[in-house]
Amino acid sequence: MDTEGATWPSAEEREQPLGPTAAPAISDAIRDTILRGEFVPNQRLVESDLADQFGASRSAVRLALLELMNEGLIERVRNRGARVRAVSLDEAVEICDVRLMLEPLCASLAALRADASERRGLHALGDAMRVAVDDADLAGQSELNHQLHTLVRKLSAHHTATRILERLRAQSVLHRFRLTTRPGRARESLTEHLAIISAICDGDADRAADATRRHLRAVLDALQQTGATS
Amino acid sequence: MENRETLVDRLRTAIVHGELFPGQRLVEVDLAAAFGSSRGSVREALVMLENEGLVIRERNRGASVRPISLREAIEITEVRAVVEGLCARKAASAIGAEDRRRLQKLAKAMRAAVKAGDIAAYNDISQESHHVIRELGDQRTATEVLERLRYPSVRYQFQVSLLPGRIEEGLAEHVSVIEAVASGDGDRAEAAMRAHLSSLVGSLQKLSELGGLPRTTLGRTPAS
Repeated sequence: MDTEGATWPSAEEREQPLGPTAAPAISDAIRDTILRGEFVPNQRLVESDLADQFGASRSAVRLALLELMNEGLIERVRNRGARVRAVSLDEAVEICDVRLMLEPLCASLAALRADASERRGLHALGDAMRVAVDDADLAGQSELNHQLHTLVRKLSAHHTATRILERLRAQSVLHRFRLTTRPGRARESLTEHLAIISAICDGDADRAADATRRHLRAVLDALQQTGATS
Repeated sequence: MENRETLVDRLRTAIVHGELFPGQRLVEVDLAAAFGSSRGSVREALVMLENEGLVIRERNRGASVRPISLREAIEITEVRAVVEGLCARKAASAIGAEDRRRLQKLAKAMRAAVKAGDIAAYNDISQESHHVIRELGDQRTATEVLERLRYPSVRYQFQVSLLPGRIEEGLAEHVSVIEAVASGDGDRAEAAMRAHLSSLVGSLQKLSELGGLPRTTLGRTPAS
């Protein structure tokens, strides 16, 4: 779009000054470090340390921290910089409540929109999940579950819901507690995920939403049981 | 800190009112001069507004006002329907006598605004009633999600309220949401809120069939 009729001074005569161009790269780097678990909840983040570690200016680091604060990954500490946010159990429950609203929406849209090759992709993911559970490969199963949730979001083509869910997903690494996994939970989780896959592949929007709700209610139960035992 | 809040607010108003228009490049030095603040503050304000979906910052290209399509406004309203539905459910189970009166007062004021044909007042009261319900629901995550969705679709919502019959429809929907929340029935409150915002989605689709926003009123909030 051009700048015709701008009330504000136009950008045309000026080259964009260095501006915020460097900041996204640093926020990406710090975000990745948090998501990989190398910066842990409650860890202090000192601007000058980050500037050294990521080879950036302090003002660029400050801007990156602001961005990550907006995303809910860190929090400002008055006069003392920032720290990685810790998500309490109560908040984890609230996050799950919101997922419980948005993921069924995505699943029902995915059921309406997935084409034949995307359905084959979903089935393949389901088969891989079965194998992981048979092999008692918990890490593999967890990775495949993650892939399924990501794929369903993508198939929904609902960009707004997707953006929100991705943010919430990022925050989920900030739990300080560990989910207690009941014996038998892995297989239940498999059944829940396969039900989602089957509903989407059948093009049944209502069933896809219901299956997603059932799965997330089970996740919510697991969270609440964690609360009861800790 | 205070300085930044003010600058964010002023920039946001300029964007929401269309003084800074969709696609327009936002050059730090120019904004700093126009708003009488430092480049550092402008830069921070742009990060905040990016978070609210009003600004886009691209590597090597700088910042610009993010264009919001009608399709995106519809998506936003679809998300609001389910997330505000959650808030309404929680609000219904938390509501006390005083809040009940507060909501009922809003319903009454809205009825008067619609009767007087005062669209600006209707929009203000509508916004306040959504805000009160969210507050009663007391959901931190849902609130953050909704705060971020608040501004991008404002101008479309205003256009919707100009559609013939829309504010009368909206009034009836708000009243049923308020009654449901006040009754303490969570299921009913969630359903009423979803129905209200789904109806808004329908009106946005109607707007889309009419060809979107009339160019002349784009982004302007008419005086009441």
